[in-house]
Amino acid sequence: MQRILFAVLISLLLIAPVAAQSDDPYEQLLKELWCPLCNGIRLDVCEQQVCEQMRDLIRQELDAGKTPEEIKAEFVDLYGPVVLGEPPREGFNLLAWVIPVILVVAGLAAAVVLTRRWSAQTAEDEPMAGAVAARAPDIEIDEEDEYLARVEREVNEL
Amino acid sequence: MADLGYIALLLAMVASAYGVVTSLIGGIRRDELLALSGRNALYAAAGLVTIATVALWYLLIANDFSIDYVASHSERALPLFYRFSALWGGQAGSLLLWGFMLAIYGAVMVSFIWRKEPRRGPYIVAILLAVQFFFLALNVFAANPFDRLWVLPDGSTTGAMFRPEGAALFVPADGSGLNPLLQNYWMVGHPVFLLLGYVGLTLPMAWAVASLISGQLDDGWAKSVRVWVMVPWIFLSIGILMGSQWAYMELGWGGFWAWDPVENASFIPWLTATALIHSIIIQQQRGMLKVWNVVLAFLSFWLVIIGTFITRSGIIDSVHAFALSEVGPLFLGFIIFTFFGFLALVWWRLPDLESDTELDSMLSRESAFLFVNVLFIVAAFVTLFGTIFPIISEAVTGDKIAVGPPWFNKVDGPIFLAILFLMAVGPLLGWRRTSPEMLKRNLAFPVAFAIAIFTLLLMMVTRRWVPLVSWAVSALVVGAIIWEFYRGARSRRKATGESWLTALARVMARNQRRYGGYIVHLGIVFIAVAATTTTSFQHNLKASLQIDESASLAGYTFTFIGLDQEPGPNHTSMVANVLVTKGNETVGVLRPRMNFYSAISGRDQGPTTEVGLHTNLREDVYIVFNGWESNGQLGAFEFFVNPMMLWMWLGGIVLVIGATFALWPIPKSAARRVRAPVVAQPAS
Repeated sequence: MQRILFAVLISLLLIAPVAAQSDDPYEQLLKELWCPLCNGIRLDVCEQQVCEQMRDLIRQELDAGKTPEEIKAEFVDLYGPVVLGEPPREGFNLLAWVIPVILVVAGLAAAVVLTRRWSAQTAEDEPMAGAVAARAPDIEIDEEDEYLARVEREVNEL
Repeated sequence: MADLGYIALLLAMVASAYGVVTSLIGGIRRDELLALSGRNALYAAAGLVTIATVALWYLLIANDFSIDYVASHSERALPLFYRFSALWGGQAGSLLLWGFMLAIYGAVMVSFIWRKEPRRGPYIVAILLAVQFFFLALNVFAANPFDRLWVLPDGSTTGAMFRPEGAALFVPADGSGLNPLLQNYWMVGHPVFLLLGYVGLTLPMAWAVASLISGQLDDGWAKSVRVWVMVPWIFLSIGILMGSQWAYMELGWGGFWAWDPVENASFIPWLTATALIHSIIIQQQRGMLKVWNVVLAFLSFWLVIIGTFITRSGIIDSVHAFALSEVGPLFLGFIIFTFFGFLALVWWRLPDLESDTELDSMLSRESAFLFVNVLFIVAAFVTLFGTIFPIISEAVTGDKIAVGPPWFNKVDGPIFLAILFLMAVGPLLGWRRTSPEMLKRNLAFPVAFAIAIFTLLLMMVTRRWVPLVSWAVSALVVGAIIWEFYRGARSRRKATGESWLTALARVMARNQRRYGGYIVHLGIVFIAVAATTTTSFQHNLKASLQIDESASLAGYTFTFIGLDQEPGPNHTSMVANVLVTKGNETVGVLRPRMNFYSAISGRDQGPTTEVGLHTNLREDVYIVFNGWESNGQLGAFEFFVNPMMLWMWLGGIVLVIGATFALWPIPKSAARRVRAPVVAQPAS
């Protein structure tokens, strides 16, 4: 049963390709560029004069046959990397992309090491887990879900 | 009145300082009388800060423009409601409100716990009063809301409490008005709730530090502190959502969250406070994560102060940041001092902070809690890192860069997805250990539910994998929640023979925290689904329309039918009427507007916009009016269709209901009345 579900899930993932977001390269480009003056406002919604001019320029250059990538590079030259809305993935700014990954990996690794060490210690110190049970008597060590057991016990106590 | 307020501030400062000293000495020497005197100082300080706050309110409502703060944040034409809210319209007033809230929170908490906490109590009072002293000192020395206006001999005006050399009192005929962006209902509530959240996070910090000082590091503090974390957390959640709602309605860019530094500053402590709420459960249940909990309690408070510092000191440019240098150095000193002080305390008590029990298995609820905690902390630090990275980068490379929504979505997005996933799996794991068979049995329904939803959406809605994955994981959480409610009710029903509804109600009442938590999770899922859906499938269109001309977007047709001018109390509104139709059906006339304020602060800022909105569970129709030409014959608009936006605010309501349910004191007898129906039914 599980295998079938798993197979279904995987095949569904495979047939779900990344679809294009917008057919119009103009609309698409406006959603990928950011106002150089405002904080976190996309080019397609910004009301600043600069953004008005940028939109006109994009329209003209697309009509003149430039590719979206060329236009993007040109805007970075004109207004600086601010228009990308994210740090460029090169030089010092590469750190902005690397450090979060390091933080996530380090955090998860620490959690794995901690759980491993704790469970190893338990296995050594308390093979019968008796001490733990004594401390928290309402916790079932049994495979039965402790919670359901507790609900039933509460009912019986009444 | 200004003198009264100022004197109250000074006396409150003295009372706070006195209370810190007597409480500390009383705590160390176990001298009950001294400790009691310290507690009374806290009540006295609370009363005095209340007097100061009421004094400022009085000055604002009475239009006393001889006071600098009133003159620069109010005006005669300002409606009474906004004169009241002008208390937090500027820095000095916000700081006073901060101190006022802390005083009330402190007095309420101390009156609840004083008898139960003979050892920790005095230290809690000392910590609260130390923080109180800091904020009062800011008000007295750096940002005094009671400063008067003076004309200097050279003709310039200045604000000061006492007469500068050769100056004369100055009373302007009218004030310069409240920042127009703040004249909105959401903007009245947002700062209050946000501050209630921020200030409230002082309480768990006080508990943690008092436990460290007194050496009472048993699990009792984790149990007692819960309500004092939850209450600020609820307020902070409401505050953040109200801020989003305000941004959505007022700023007119179709979005609700821009990862602006000020938004991040409120979100980062929310993340650590959420982590704390989860990890105190482990300490209560299993006696683990003791160091972690005191650190989280401190960190949440400390990140509030850091966030306030980086956004309000003008270090980071953002729409909100007003550069105010006098307060900056004091904040920085406070940040450094508290950090090292706390570090020293933890170092001193580290030997007493060992866990009572150890972990039994990777596949247990504790380990799920641990992993989700790590993810919350990583999310908090990644967000903090992204917020300050532009300053670091500019200092190193000399180039200005932006760390905006694309970065945050790419970096925080996967972390939130992992948290959502654990939200589904964690509750299905038992404490200590869960056998794979047990897990499989519990996962069957949620997984089937998620696959069904996923398949349905894949076939009917979209093939884009970002929303699909987010929806599928959200469905997994919903499936797990349904399953949990079902099996709780089922096992009670099995034991008592009650009806499904009675069994569910009683099992919920007996396990408030558990089921309250699930309701909160459901609210979070609503918010997550709304955020993903609206960002992935938003439609927008800019158009200038002549009268009777139409534009269409996502199945809707928008027709400009004319411009109205409407006078307001202190502004004039230009209102565009736009007829919205879908197919042959009329949706209604939406009336987006531009408000032109007449006061100085209004003229400086230009007009504010208020969107026209039609909302339902499926999508929002949202119109921004950007301007007009040719005597109102031509209007410039931006149209948006934002799918599922309403779910975000519904999610907020569900979250508050769940958290309140978890905290609400249900008398145990009500939950215990279980035998009666069993007896009433004749045995078959």
